[in-house]
Amino acid sequence: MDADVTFEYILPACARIAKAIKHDFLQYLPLIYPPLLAGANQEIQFSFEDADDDEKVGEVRRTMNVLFTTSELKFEFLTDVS
Amino acid sequence: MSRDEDTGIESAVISLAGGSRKRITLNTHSIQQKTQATQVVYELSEALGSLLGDYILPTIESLYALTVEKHSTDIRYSAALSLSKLFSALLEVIRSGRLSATTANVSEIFHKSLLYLMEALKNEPDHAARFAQAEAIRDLLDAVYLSGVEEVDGNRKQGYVIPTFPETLTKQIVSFLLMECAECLIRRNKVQESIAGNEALDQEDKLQQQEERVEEEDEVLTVLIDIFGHLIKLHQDPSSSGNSFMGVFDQTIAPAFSTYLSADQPISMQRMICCLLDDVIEFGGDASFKYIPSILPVYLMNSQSEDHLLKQCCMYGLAMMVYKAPQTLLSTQIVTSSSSSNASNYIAPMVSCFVTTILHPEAFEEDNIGITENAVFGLVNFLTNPIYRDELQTSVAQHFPLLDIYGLVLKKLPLKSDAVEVKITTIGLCSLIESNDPLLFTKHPVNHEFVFVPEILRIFGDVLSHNQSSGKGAVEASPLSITAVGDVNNNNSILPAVTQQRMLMILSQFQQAQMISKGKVQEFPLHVQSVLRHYCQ
Repeated sequence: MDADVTFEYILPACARIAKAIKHDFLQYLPLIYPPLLAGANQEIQFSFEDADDDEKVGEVRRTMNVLFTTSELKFEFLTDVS
Repeated sequence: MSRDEDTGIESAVISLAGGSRKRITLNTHSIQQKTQATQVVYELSEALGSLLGDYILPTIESLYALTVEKHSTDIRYSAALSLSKLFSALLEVIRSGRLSATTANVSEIFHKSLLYLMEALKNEPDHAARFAQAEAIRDLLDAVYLSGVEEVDGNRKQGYVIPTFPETLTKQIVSFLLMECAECLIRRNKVQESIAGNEALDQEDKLQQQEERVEEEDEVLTVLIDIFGHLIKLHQDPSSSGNSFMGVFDQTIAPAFSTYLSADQPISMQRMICCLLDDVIEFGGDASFKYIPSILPVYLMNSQSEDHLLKQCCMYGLAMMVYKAPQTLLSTQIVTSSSSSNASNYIAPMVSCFVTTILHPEAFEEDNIGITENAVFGLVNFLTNPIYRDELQTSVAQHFPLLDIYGLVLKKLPLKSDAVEVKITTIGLCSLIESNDPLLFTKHPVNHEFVFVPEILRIFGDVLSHNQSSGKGAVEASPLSITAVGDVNNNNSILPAVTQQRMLMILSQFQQAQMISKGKVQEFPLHVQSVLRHYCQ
């Protein structure tokens, strides 16, 4: 199954069903927990390095601001991207 | 800007100040999945709690890293809330005997969770996440407190699932919290200054912006200060009225916040400090009573405040002083500028404050119920502790005849809003009955019937019918779910078994003495009648 569908629709739906049926949902936990924890534990690939000479400065979307408001990088990006 | 559709990796080149160019590469697809997964973990934790059983420990293990996940605010937000929910669920599993505290290594989980949450909060740039992290720390401590054995008055001093609270950890938390509070206050001041100095905004916009952003800081600050209260709760000495946290409180916390008690400080700050001082009086033991002479006049003044919340927490503090510190109250003199030859204590002004509050025409409007119930709680504490009796019969009775106060209080019982108050007032009423208090058993001069016995029956019937607790501070009405005699040990009961037994014994004695009039019982609400019929056949 498409991972996007799993995380965007199936798992949130399962959580809502669990809220409704409580104890009766326990039998399904072995099915949903492995992909759930795998999704939560996955590594995020990130790099911040010097650009090559032939790379042009691209348009930085506003959403990038949100992604980079981290303790490590917030100063650089909040001051320079805007 | 480029994007690889298969891997979800996005890349962008940006120019930094100074002319250097950097390439940022990030798998936004992974962030999205991780965010959604963490959100589902939170929803499942909330939906199933301790039912998650064996899944709790591996989930907590995953959540540590997520609480400090640097690429997404949403992940940190959901992870913090999930961590406290699952920790609470874990303690519930241990208390139910399905897992041992040692096997679960619960002390280590507690310490690790606290440290991760503090680390997350320390570096958090986002307001909503900061609020969630502060709440999660508070909820961890609350879960430990609630895992303790409940005493008859609702306090929990021992039997916590986490047996020890290392001194080094306490100090670490306190210095961290003081630093976070200071940062909140700095941000709060900066917000006020920056908006005041922005000439592009008109006065109304300025005020609105200021209010919203100051409110955000106040929200976090309220939780941070509440954490101090939880630390006081968790350091009560189980075998005495001592508290090992009070030394730290005296040296570091009190000096940092005492100025905010003053009437010229923002109301929100006054509220936070009064709530903290309420915890100090309620849980700080003997060492906390030294603050009463300076707090008491402020609380009495705040009982006239226009602000409902400030009024409510001060009324609670006053009532708690009556319950916890009778000797201190009796010896605390009102300071006046004139000679102290006629020095008197605060008992009469306190009684007056409680009575005036209860008699206020809007006393039982929705916003005022908490305030009024706290005032009733205060009066019950005065009536039920014999140490106050002389004072009540002398200085107070000149203004408020004691019999009138009995009538006033009994009409307003049972209390409904706060579980601890319900427990304490019921115990007090039982003691008063068991001691054959002459005023409580006053007879009507004409028909010679006991004046207050019908009220006592109504109160007992009502309390016994409300046998479901929905957590701290709430008593849920379930009028027709009657506590059967055999269910006295029911864990869901709002009252401990020993108090219920006392009430049943009293009802039985009333019945034997033929003090229960069927005619009077028929005037009670149906749920009270049902309970009384059940016990007094």
